[in-house]
Amino acid sequence: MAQTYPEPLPMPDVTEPPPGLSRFPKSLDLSLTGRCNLKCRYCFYADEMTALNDMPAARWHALFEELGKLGVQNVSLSGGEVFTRPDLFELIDGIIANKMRYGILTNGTLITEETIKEFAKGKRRLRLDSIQVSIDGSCAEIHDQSRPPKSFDRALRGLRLLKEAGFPVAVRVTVNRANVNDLPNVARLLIEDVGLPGFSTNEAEQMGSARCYGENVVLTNAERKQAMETLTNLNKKYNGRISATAGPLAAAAHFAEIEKACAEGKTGIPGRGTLCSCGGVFTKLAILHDGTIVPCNMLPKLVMGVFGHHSLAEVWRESPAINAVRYRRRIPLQSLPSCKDCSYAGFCAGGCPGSAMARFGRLNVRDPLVCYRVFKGEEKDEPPSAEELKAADAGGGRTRQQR
Amino acid sequence: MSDAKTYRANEVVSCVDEGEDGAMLYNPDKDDTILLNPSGRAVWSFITAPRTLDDIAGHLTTVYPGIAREQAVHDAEEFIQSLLPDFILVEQKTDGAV
Repeated sequence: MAQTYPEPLPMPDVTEPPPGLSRFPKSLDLSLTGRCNLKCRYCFYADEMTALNDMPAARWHALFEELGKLGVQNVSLSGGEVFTRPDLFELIDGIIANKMRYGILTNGTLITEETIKEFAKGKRRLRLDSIQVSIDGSCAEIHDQSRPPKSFDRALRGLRLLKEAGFPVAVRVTVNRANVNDLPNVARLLIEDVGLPGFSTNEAEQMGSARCYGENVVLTNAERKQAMETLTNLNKKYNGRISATAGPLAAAAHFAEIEKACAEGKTGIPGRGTLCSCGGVFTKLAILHDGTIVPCNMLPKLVMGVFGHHSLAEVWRESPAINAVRYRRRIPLQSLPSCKDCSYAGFCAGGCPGSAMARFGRLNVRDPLVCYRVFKGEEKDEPPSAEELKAADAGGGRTRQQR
Repeated sequence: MSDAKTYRANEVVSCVDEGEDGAMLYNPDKDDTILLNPSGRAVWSFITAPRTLDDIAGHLTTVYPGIAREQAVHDAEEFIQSLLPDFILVEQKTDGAV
């Protein structure tokens, strides 16, 4: 009997950039190191940290020089933990010398009075856009369930030092099973006690080290609903000072928008209805700590090239890896087997390609975490069917030569 | 010694060529971006060394031979004034005093 295959997803030639793409990205995410002084239970970067080696300072400086010539305006520095690099401030000076600004993502535990003094030198403060500290609980008992002992005290000390010195400090709270009942206390600590203008949230996902600790870390559907409700109410209480581009609060806003549009009799939301996701790949790319160039550090396996061996300007426009992510926007959700009969398909965005890739090893599938039917309990959060995986495989990665 | 003002590109500013659209200037100290049209880009390239208003107007009449001298002076003044508030150009005396 002849085998039948599903209709391939509509995917253009991925060696050609989408019309209107800029000559080079405005921003880059740079993972400066794979080293970290902590070992968190939901670190999305954990696999890369153990597998890759750090680029030496000289190569980073060569990269900064190239970015400066290309007109990149700012870089976001993360890791690993950036403050484990003894040459961090020399690297920052290299960024400044090449006419860029920068931001830092940190666990906060290595920030001391000495760090504050180092930032005072030259233009290090002037060019710093933000320094984001991870705080995942209102107390050590909660925060340190996902991190080594004493992490909370050290992170909070670092946060307070930065705040008192007037730094543009931000906090990211990763919602997980350990802190889902502690969110009101976290909000009180950060906004009322520490005095931050606000904080942002996301959630622990099934990637990196969370693959090992998944059932103890990643929210169940019931807990995610609880987190959505709690964060929405807290955001009302604190006048919109809690933000999110992913995770329960973002999903709650997304689902509320769907409910409102449905109530108004609309059949879709402009800009939705395809695998459109966040759109970050149109304005930035990422470089891992060994020099691997990837579309986003949430997509570390989607290799575009290696710094020093491949032209950044060329891979930005011509790499099939990043163009495949960009062209997801051309794939209507109703062409996916799991969404084809869904009456909400015109309202959805398909979710994060990094989450889909981490969970299912495919780019062109939807992320069930942001599926409205799953949220409403009309469908289970299950992996894509064999039919859907075949369709995803058939649609991605074709080049001019193959067509 | 002359007391004529001179103008030059602020060296912290990056300039990215945008082809037929001109160029984009970015001042990372101010996090400020300005788009230049092709004639603005021509002036920007010229003022990497200190130049007087007369120098800049003369450069414009060289690059665009059809332009009248008075118009070139006006355009040069307008260009400088539009960039000075954002600290993209700095002003110096010709003897080197800022």
